[in-house]
Amino acid sequence: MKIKKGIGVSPGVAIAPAVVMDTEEFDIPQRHVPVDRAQAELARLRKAADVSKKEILDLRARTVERIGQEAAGIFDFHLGLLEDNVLNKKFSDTVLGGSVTAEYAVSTVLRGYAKEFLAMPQYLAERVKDIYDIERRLLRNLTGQRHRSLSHLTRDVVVLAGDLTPSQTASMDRAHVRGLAIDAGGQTSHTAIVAKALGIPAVVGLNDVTAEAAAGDIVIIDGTRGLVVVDPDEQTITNYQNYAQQQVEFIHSLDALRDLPALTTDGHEITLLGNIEFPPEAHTVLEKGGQGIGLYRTEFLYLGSDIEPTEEDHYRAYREVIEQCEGRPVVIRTLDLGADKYTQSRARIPERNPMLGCRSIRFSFRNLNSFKTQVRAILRASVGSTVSIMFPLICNLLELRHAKAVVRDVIEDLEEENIEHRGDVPIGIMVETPSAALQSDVFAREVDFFSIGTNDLIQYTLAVDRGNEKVASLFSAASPAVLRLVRQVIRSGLRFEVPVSVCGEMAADPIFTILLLGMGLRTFSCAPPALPEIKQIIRSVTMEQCIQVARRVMSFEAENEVVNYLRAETRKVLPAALAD
Amino acid sequence: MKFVELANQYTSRIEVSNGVLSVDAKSIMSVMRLAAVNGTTLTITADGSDAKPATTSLAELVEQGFGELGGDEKIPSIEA
Repeated sequence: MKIKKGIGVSPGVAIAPAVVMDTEEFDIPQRHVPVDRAQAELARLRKAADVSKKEILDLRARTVERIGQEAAGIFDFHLGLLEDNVLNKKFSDTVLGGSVTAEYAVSTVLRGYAKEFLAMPQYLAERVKDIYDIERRLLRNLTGQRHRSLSHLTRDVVVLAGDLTPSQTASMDRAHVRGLAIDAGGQTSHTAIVAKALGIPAVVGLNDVTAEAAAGDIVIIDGTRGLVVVDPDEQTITNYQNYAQQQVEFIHSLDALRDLPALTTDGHEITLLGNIEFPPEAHTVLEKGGQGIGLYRTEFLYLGSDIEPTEEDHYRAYREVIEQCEGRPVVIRTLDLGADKYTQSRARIPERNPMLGCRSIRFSFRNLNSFKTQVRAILRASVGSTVSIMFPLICNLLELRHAKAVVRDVIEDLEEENIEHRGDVPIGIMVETPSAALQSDVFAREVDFFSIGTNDLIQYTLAVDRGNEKVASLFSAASPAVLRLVRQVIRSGLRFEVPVSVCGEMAADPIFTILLLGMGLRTFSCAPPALPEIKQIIRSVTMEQCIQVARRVMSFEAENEVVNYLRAETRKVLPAALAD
Repeated sequence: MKFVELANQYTSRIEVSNGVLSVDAKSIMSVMRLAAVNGTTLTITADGSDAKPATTSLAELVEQGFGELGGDEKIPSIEA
């Protein structure tokens, strides 16, 4: 039994056999073979090694020819590794001694060495790359380029991976994936967002959980505490099953709230909306008591496939959501891609600083055809509905005006072509840059609504990349600086009568509900699983209480004061909300 | 790695140690595990018909600097 500690990004408990993906999307298929097959597995390994050696000799020859003798030296090193007697004996002992597959032996033996070398001085730590290279080559020759995807699973599993790309999460068989455990550090946006949207536990930043677990091992994922247990003993399984049961009961008790209004005890009505990535989730939002969609992240239309979505693809997706919502509000955010690893890795010229680079609305302005296609689809789909358009990452007034001009152009085109559309769709912006927050009073006169994207707002305000584990701890919604900006936006909204919502994770975090209410927020939009708890808190407080709390919090100087105080206040209202 | 390549040219069984770990000098993976850097003291022992030439030439290679591992390792004892 091994216990690994990481960062919990989505709460809950899952207990299931593991599917292990490495970063190349290879799934290490099976661990054991019948004893009488062990020799055959060893023969497979030897054959793959021979093929690999030939490949390397070939590469070596070509490198000598095209670049030079010295550059080819690295292949001598690779060859040396493949011909290493001690290594080969280890492979053979592992296959024959454990009756395991060639793939399993290759992975465990090489990763065992890699782990040792990672702890060593510079030069040797760098050689780890070569070890992984050999591993990939051997696996490729063993499995013959077979990529196992997560899209067809036959039983409930938890997925362990070095990292999960958006296309992997987009095509994941959601009926069977019960939890996620990722090596990569920090709150990588896609894994966290998808896990929360699906309501499944997820832990990231585990570093080497993929080395510690094999396909088929029972794994417990504790997303609440950020723990992963590989191959747990009986007692641990029982404890977790009990804990999971309690959580399920708590969640069910909250579900009873679905049809009750989000009203404070002194009668203030609050609007609760849901964040979605895929059309089918609209249904989940309503199920959990949401009154509409506060944020429809449309980038998954782009990430789910290799080709750009057509206007019809957009239109169909939007209609599906609108129809499921039956007249309830739907806010569609235009493309917010560009800074993520996935896009960067496919870019012809990757940017040095994607977070501050050509992403989101800036990307859209440079890809006007794409942008107009999306806007066209939105305007056509919104006929007879309450859809709004929201632009991400707007950082100055000119960008907003430019975006609105694009919308006007599209309306003109649609009118000329006599195509049915809504010309009076409300237009709002995501407030996620400090500049937009600081100028919110100016923006308020030119938008129909604001939605505060706290995730990015916090990153930009505190100059932190939450995906960078070295600094991820600096990221916090409780930062007094961030709170001042949030309050400023809410106040601008109140002053100029522009509706304001918070759609970042801060809205889903129960400790901030009272504070946000006290600041004047009347609309929350979050991942569906979080809705019942937030509603419960709203239904247990008076507005006066919230205003007092907010006043107190804004006098604090440090983040930990804020967090401790808010935790205490929230616990008073909803003790079960904050699991220990 | 030159050290391992050279060791493989001899028939004797050759071991190299950093004082803590003793490994087969003919195995790259094993030698890497010694984490030998500037200042590490290595002990080379060989057993077989060409043991003496083996340890002598290996010691020389180390004295001259490995090239990859950055030289200067001291060898206190050479046993044949």
